[in-house]
Amino acid sequence: MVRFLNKIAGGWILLLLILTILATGLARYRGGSAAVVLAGQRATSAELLEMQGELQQDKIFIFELAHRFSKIIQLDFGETIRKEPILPLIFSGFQITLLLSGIAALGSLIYGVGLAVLANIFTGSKRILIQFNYLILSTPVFIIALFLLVMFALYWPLLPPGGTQLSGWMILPALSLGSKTGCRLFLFADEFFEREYSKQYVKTARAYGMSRANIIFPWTAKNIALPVLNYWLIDFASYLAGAAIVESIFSIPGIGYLLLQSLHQYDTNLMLGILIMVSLAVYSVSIAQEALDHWYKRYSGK
Amino acid sequence: MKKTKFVRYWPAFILLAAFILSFIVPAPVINLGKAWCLPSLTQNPLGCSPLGQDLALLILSSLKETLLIAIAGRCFALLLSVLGFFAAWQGGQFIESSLLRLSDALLTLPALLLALAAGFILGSGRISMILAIAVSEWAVNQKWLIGRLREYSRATYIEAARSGGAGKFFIMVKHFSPPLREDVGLLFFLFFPGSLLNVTALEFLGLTASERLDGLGYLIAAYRDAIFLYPHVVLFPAVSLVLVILLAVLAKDVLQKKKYSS
Repeated sequence: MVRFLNKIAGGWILLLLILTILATGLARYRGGSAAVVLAGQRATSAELLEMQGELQQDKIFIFELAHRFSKIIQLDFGETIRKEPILPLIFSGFQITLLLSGIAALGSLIYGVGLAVLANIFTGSKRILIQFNYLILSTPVFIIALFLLVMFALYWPLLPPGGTQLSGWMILPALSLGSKTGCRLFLFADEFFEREYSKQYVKTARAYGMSRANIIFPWTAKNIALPVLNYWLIDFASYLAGAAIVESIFSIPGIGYLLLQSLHQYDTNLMLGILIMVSLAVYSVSIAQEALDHWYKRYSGK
Repeated sequence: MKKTKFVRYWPAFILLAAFILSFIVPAPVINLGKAWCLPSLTQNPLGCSPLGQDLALLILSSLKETLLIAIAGRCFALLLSVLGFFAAWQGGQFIESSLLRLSDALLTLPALLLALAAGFILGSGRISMILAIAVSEWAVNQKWLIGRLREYSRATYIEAARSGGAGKFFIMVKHFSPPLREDVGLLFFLFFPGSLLNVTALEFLGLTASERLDGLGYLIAAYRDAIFLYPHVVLFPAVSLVLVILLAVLAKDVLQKKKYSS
């Protein structure tokens, strides 16, 4: 246990250090700077120097790094370049992104597993379904999002095109976000079904004349449940990555949109805070997935 | 027999042909008189861009940029991982566990977000895009290769070589290099579709390779507002991009099946 905790803490501190170096590097060596964003393009060099002093960009790199790291360790992200406190900003963004990711994750689970079960009961259309899912997997998220936006918000105005004000705002973004994970889950579950079908118990049941549906529900589905659930949890990071694209297309003020904004404005404190919170979320999910795996192995005596 | 062996690699060959073709065709010329022209069989089969450039040529030149960055990014990530592999073998347990810990830490960040942050730090440009892709993909390659290192070093023939007095460097060159070459080749194709998706996503989000010539993701982002009036300027680049990624996925599958069946 102590070793496990030590591993987690060690990994975390290392990650925090890498991210701090990344953010301090951004502030220091990037072509533009937060001072230019705040002072404007026409600011004089004296005004820029004053702004840099206010933003504490006039320190020596190593001291700035140490100062920032000591604050980050205490989860004190400070303020944005526009003097807004960062933590509430991140939490409000996270709420939206987590809601979106939750709906997308649930939808992808229903789509992936449901379709895999159907494809393995009615095997006639399986090949076409596999090809279709490959096609969706090969389509970048932004193309899926643009396609859905054009079809269901502009051509047939059935759903809101963006923002979070109108009801049903999350349907199109969640569909875009969950589409690829759903396809991956389908292919993964289908492969597991195939593996199960080659096992002796299925062959025996088939020899006794049982239908595929009757084999899937008491036995096969139970056997593939854990690997599918594990895979579903492992894929959690892809929702947060996809959120940056989907939220920028649908103008949703989630964590991805905030991250892009922070990068465009050279707001290193905000960027650092977002990346740390994202990694914390992914870390937590991977620990939950490990615990689930561990529990199942103990429970089933494997 | 040999013919069938090569035929199954058709997705990789088509991808390679498209890449070579993108270097051969001339660069699209600006001709404002033809701006937004619709597809026609005789002159511009895919229509024209808002600047009157032939869309087919524009797609090919953008494809070159996207593929170039994805390939170079993957190569660079693999190079770093191979160096890490050798360092872990030479340096022993400490370097091996440090590299594993570092890659574990980086893996908690989604690759796209990491590439986005790294890309913005480095600024626009081909080199910075390549570095951003390499940084975001290094961790997964490194973890895989360290896993392979553990497998190799436990093999009986390696133990025999060590007890026979062979040095670490000799074992690395003589015994690790041949299987490592195969692993690196597989790794390249295994994550290549993901690299392509990341490169196009970065381009779409505004991290472009250069101001003069941009990738397919940028092309789609730049013309997306014209999708209702001139759908061809978005549709054709989008279809080409999907086809290219699909070919990369199919090539990956063929190699993966070959590796695991053997």
